[in-house]
Amino acid sequence: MAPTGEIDLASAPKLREGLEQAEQSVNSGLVVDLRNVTFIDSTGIGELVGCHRRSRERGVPLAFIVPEGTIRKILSVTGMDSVFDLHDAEPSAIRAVVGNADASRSGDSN
Amino acid sequence: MMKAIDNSVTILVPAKPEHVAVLRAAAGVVASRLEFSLDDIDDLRILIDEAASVLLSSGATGQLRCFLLAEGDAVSFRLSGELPNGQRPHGEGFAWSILKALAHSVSSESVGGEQVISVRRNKGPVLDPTV
Repeated sequence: MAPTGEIDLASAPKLREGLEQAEQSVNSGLVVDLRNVTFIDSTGIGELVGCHRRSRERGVPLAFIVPEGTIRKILSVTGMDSVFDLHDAEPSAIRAVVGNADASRSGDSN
Repeated sequence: MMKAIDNSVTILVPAKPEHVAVLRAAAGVVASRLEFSLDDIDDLRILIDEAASVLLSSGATGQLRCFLLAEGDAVSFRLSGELPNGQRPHGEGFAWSILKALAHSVSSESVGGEQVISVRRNKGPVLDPTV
């Protein structure tokens, strides 16, 4: 799942649609790649929070790829950097999701 | 509609989400005139976006009016809109967290039936008041 461009009040509904589609198509884990997002505001953060909540409810591991920069700063300002599983690059994000999925299956997460 | 007088710009846009990008663009241009850094310009674009989001998500109708002023080492803006039944804008949530964190000053008031959010952003980062 890799949204692109600017996420604001106008484009947030499209982001939610994309996230929900991605969530429904996976059971083992989801990586949301925000590297090509150039702008995000509180509305977009709210959609990411919704995705985070739904994934937790379903027990599906979720990780975000967010390198240092504007997007990471907004996540930090809103305190979401300590809630979301953030990674600088793809390999570590995938490892985190796969590792958590394995842990869930074997019951290690309980 | 855009009107510029010296170092100030006034913009009127329909109170619709798809027009918030126009406000972001105008804020970016004004900040770049003062030779703000790219980080500061980003912050100003987010600030004006969040102020607009607060008014729109509170049900603003008609038009949003934005007065942008570049003065000294600061860019200030006043964004106003009419809310139904004269109600106040939502005062909590991520939008206000971002406004308070990235502005050097931010306030909200009711003026002549309109809700106004005023923000000032200086050059350079905002110091964390808790430090």
